[in-house]
Amino acid sequence: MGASIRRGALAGAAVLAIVLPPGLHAIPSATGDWVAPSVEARNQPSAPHVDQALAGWVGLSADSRQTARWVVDTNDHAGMDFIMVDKKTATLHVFAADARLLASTRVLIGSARGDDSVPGIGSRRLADVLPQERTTPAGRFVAERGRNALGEDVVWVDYGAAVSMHRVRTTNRLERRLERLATPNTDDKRISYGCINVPASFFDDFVRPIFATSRAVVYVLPEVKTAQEVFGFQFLTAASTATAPSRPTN
Amino acid sequence: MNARNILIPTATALAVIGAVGLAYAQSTAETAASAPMTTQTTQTTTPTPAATPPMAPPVTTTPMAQQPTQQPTAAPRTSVPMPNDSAPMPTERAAKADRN
Repeated sequence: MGASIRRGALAGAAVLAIVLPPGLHAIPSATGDWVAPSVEARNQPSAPHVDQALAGWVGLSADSRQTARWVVDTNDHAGMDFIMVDKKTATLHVFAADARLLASTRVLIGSARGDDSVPGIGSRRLADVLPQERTTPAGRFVAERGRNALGEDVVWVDYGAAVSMHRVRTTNRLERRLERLATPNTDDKRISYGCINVPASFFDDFVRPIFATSRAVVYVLPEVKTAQEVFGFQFLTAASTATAPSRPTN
Repeated sequence: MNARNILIPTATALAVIGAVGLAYAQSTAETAASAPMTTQTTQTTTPTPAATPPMAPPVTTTPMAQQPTQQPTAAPRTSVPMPNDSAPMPTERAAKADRN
């Protein structure tokens, strides 16, 4: 009788092991207890994951690589996906919370070189923005979704300075924005008044989802200043000893 | 005796499966019931843009010369940003003109 019950219980357990979804499978904790994977655990980058992710960081400039490493080592991105805009190469990189590089694309940025916005530019009419003022500001921005005056859904990078990230705009044909996106020349990418123009499909597939339910950090790398100067970090030598430095709060 | 040898294990197996299945169904129902309202609110309050801007050609079709940044399509997008204390669900700011 007892043996029959044991046999039945084993058979039931075997069936369940096959049928149950993988998400229910537990992982052992350090103490030997069995716990379900938590969101915190998933979003918390651990050293092996970061090292694996680094192998996938293909095509990043030295500045992008160094800054991204600092971000994940210090958890500056608060365990969320994050975006990096490299103005020198006119590229945008999307990283997963665990430091994997998800995708990259060319982008259009402000026509003027510089890392700051002139005071009050966010409340000025576009026509009143002088050519030398059309910069895309560098810094660490807690970006969020929103709408511009035309009702278009955008991601506000620096709301105060009216800098947003949006699908590439082709309203002014003379600017040839689509053609500019297609060329490999970084000089072609300098056309906007400060906003970051992203290929529409890329915006919908990779940028928009990040901001669907929360804010996220966008790092705009400088082109005149150094990344260390803007983000306040030193060259990283030991991830475990790195501490979050003071940084500009945008 | 033979029938008993078959019936008892089968009944036990079914009981185990049933008990675990019931527990799983209950936990699934509780998870669904306690899901944050923010997601639902977001979906229902997100208006459709008034005008859809023209689409750019897919960047994947054009290789980059200076920086061969790629579309690592092989990397599946499994990470979904979760709201947390440091980044709460934002209240949408007032619409304003951007810098194009």
